[in-house]
Amino acid sequence: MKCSKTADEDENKKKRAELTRRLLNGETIAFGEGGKIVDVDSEEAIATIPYGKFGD
Amino acid sequence: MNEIKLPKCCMAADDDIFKQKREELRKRLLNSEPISIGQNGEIGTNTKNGDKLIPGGKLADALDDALRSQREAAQNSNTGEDEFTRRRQQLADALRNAQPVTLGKGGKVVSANDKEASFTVPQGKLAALMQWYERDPTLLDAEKAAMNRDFPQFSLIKLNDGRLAWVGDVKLNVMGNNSWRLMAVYQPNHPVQQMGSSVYVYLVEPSIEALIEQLGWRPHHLLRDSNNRDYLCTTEASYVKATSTQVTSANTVLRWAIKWLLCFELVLTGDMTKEEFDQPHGI
Repeated sequence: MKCSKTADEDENKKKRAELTRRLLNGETIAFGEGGKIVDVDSEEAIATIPYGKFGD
Repeated sequence: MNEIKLPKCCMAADDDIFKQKREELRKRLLNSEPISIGQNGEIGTNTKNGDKLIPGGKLADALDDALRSQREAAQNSNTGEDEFTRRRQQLADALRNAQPVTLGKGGKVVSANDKEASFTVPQGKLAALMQWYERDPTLLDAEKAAMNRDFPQFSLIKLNDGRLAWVGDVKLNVMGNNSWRLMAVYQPNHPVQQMGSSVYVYLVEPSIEALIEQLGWRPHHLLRDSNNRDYLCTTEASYVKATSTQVTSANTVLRWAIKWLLCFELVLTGDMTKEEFDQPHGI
């Protein structure tokens, strides 16, 4: 049985992988209070990151 | 023993005559009486044809007069320069403070109550000298409203050069508990459609310079300001709006900055590659 710390780490790793996928695919990203990254359909979501790439 | 030989002459005999002449000249000089100057420059008391008379008046007075006139001329000249300097300074102050400026004939700048005054330049500043929020206070209100809605933790400050900036922390909760202190600085000509927009976002803490040094790697998507400081290249120019109906606000630019930082954190956690982050057309 995994300890809770390892379970959290796995969960975070999944979250980061999903964020990376969304970013690379140009999908919507949302953030809540203090800039915390949250799910787009989360109640915590304040705003989404507008379309537009950084780059040259 | 060395000897000094004096030639024979009638020095002693002539000396009395010269002594008399000198005495006469002394008296005339002291009494301001005319003294003649001969054709060969010899000084005398008897005026002959062709001789010139030294004009009346005292030596000291003449010198004083000459000095005085020269000093006055110099002082007038200096006063004139001071006056021009003072007027230039007044004009510069008036322009800087958007006060009215009065023009006379030929465009000459005159004081408002001058006889020559014919036209007063209306009050107001040249657009180039103004900050965007002076030109468009309504836009400032809109910027504040947008920031207060999504980034209430940010404070608006004014830099010494008059530029406005938002300062605050964001904590993405992706790479542990770290937070980023950001400063979003409006350029005086905001809004402008340009790379990174006219709101420059700087990393205050940690600084980008410290990060580059620690990582040994410089993110590709950074821009340099006129003082050679790096700020985030938050977006390509084509995504920036700067029209009469749509303006890319500090709020929007900060949201792009969050995306930039999110990607950066994912690189640091190993979830995104440097190559993906640095790709020329960005994310």
